[in-house]
Amino acid sequence: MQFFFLTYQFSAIKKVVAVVFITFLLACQPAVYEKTQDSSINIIETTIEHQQATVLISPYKEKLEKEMNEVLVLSAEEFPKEKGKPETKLGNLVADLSMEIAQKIHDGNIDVCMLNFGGLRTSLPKGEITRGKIFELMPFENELVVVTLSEIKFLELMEYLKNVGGQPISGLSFDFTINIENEIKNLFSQEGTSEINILTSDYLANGGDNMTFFLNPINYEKVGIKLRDAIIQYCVEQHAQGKQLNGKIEGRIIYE
Amino acid sequence: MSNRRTFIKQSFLGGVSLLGTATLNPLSAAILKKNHTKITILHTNDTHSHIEPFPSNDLKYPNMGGAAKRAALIDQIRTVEKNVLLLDAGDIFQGTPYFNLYGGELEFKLMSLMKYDAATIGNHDFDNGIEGLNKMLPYANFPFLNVNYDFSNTILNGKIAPYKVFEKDNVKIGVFGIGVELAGLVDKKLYAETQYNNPIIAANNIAEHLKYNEKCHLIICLSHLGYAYKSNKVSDNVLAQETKNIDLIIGGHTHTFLDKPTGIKNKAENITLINQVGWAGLYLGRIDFYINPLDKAFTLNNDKIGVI
Repeated sequence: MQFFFLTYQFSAIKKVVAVVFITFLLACQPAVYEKTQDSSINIIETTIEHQQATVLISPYKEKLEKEMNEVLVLSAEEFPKEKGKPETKLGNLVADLSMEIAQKIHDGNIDVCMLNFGGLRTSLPKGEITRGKIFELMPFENELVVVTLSEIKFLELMEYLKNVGGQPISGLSFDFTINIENEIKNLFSQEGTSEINILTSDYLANGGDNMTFFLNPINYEKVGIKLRDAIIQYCVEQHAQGKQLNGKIEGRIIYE
Repeated sequence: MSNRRTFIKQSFLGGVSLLGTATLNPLSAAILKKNHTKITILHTNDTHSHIEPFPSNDLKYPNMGGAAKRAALIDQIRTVEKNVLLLDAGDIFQGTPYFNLYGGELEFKLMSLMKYDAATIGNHDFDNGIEGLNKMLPYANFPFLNVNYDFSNTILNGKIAPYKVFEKDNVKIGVFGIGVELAGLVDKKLYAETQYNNPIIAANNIAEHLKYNEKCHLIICLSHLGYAYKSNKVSDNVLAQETKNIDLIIGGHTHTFLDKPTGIKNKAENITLINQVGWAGLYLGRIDFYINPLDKAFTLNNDKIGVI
């Protein structure tokens, strides 16, 4: 057995020093930190399960699996998780449903929804969409929030959107081949407003995915629902109305 | 942080080389141990509702972790070691659908089955609000310890003890808990009227009390502050530097994997150890102390134990 020693000075040094010195006639080293291989190898190789714990887990696991396997809605087509596209069916679906669900709960007006592609973690298959699949799509506990931005901050948002090559958006379509600044000026003056309400997740509103334009907003309000729960609610509602999930690509963001 | 870690590692090695003339041989170590009581500290942090092992197709941790396996490991250690203390540094909740569905009930029941001796409260343990945590407390047959949250104006008033003293073969072990600042980290509506107090002041006061009034031989802090930060934010490293009388800080929050405990020179010029074992129940921390209840002389033996 190999021993390896380090010395530390703990409290009550003098008494300890005496013990070590008298007993072993060593230099004054009060307390010893020892790293050994003692019994740790057996512990590392342990793969057995504690039977009582397994029995305790079992009914919870069964119920959870049943719940996660519950089919919430049917999807008419696949919604692939795609990279490098300004607009995807999956992004449009989640941004649109977030708008729809949030508008039902939130008191104030919501103009635009913007999320991020990175936050949508998996593709949705054609056919049965289970609760477990929605947990895979949105494993995070992000909540929907409404952030009120000034015209200047909104221009920053649009420049960001242009630079990153798109994010899931709803309530807005934009052609980046024309002058953004003029277009936004026109948009705000037509609406006769100096502010715009953006629906997003609390993660992004706190500057996540480099969305720094969301920081220090005019107003910040929680909608009161997690993004995952909004997706689940939408799926359940669609199914209750006899509808399936359908994808849309409609040129919301145009670059060329 | 990487620079800081390098520095800590170097000072560790520096300690070794200085020891050249003073190294104990295994035989004398055995004699030293004979007069001492062995105390085995087992610990977890940030288990985050990881009841089941990671799936076999997980990129980082295939088949690792799992509460039933952890329970078996702990049982196995208990058959060998007489004086075991099993502790958790918080964030037991949130991370798998088990929490979304059952609110932490199974997590607490399993920890009770494993005979945890104490735990502290992490920021995610507020994720279902203070009511959500309160509702789950009956499933835990071990105490939750915290000394720097004031719960007096909440429903947790009187339910969270600042510390607990354990006695094992005449060795007294004082354990207390420290929580991270909640403002900015947790929604106010979740932690409600919980008041956060300065962790360094609170830790110093309680450690002094444990040492001089409760006459503890070993003082352990369960901390959910986090291992270290680039900013001035208070961390376990800062806590260790700014306090006296704490022998071991069992950390959490930053999901830090440490190969061995970090030794930090504290305010009394003694060493405070910090240990943390990542997250998700992938590892069980273990530190063995050899303590002479009369002299408070002890040695340490540490290993991070993989659950595979």
